[in-house]
Amino acid sequence: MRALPPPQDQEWLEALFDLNATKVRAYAIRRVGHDSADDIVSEVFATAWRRRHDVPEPALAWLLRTAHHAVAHERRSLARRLGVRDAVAGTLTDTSSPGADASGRALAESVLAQLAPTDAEILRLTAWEQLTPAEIAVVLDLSDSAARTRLMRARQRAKRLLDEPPAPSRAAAVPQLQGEPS
Amino acid sequence: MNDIDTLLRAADPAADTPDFTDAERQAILTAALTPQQAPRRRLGWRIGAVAAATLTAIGLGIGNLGGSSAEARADEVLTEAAINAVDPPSRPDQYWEVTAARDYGTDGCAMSDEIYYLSVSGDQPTWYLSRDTSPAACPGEPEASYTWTLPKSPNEMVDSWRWPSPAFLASLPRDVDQLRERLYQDAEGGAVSGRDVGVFLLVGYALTYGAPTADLRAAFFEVLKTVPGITVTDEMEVDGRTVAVFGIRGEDVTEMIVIDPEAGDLVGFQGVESQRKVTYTRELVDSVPEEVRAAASVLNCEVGFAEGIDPAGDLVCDG
Repeated sequence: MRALPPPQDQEWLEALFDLNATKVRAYAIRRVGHDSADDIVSEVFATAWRRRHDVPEPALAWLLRTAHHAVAHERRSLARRLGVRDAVAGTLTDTSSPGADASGRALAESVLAQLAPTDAEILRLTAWEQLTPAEIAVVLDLSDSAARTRLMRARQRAKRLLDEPPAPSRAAAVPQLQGEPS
Repeated sequence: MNDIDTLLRAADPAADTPDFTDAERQAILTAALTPQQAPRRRLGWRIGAVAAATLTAIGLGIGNLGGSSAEARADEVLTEAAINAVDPPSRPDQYWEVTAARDYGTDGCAMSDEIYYLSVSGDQPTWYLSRDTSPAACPGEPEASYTWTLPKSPNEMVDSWRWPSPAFLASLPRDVDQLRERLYQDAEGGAVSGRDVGVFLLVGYALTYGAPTADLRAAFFEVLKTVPGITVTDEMEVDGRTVAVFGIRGEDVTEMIVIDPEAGDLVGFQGVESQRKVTYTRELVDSVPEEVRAAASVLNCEVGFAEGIDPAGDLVCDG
């Protein structure tokens, strides 16, 4: 990984952007959908510039933590505007993509919905952002050991849920997976 | 396909995220570089009347470290803490019930307690209970409580500063010079900012994650007096107690430790840059509550030193 210039000028911000922006955009698309993703990216890099002397290197986990806070703010704002509590959980945000496996996504979401929100987010950060427990700890403001143990616990719970025979409501959401060997 | 990682990756809604066009890149960079009013953030540490003082401590943060008066004050407070360190009488079959009240500083809506039961002798496994304590007015559903334990007792695990067993703590020298030598030896290579920072981190781990006895705490405080660069960054009232926040400058240092000199014990820690804060209360109990034992999952983890984890040791889990 190439080193960034000192955090004092525009060149540093441009290099930071070129190294990380697409990953931050992908993170945002996954949480708030395509329409709002670039607003999150813009907020993240504006924050990085304001706090340029605090940005560590490598910066990705710090940037995703900033994005995590921006997404939470976006969802709270949405919830306030709509007066709908469910918006906070992201259920009003369609993050689907034409290329995504819709049935798999429904099954994954049904499993994640049965986990604690932080545990679900740890699984997303592992699978989608491919972060290590130490990086997840930075993003979610957890201790390293908490991130590590919660990841393991979340995987265990997810496996149990996936191994269970499909309940009627889940089967309805993922009809094509009924009867699939566990 | 029956593991959640594979399932999530196959359903990734951003699998084909495009790079930014030149125009998009320019727009975002221009917006970022344009001066604007920083957003005001609401902070919240639920320690009653001390909130204002706490905010001052956050504001000062690491930038306030340094200076001979701050180091002299550290010396005074640590001396007082070493003198005052005492323990209640305990039996080997009892447990320390440690309540860690955590506030991760997300608009006052990321609060939780972790309660753990540490065997006084270290011969019984530790039990953990975590529960969401965010105010009811916070958005979203509260996280479910969870409890877990480990298959081995602390004394059956390898020695580690990050997960210090009673046997490990008992093995440490109480002589200040010998303890200092041991700490500097174990801190070698553990912190990129140098061994002084490494010693600060190791003592912080032992005070935070173990239950060091009063004689060892006193020795730790005496050692900290000899570590260059440790300063008192702030003093404040917490629940009627005057406590001191200790820090040291170093890029490894993410947390400052808070010590009550009158009790000679750790109060908690707070983030240097983050708003993360944890306060601890400890009391002796005769047993682990049955509901905790009944609800606990056994995590197949033990202390280890695998590549990529904290050099002071951390839990390594299978699965």
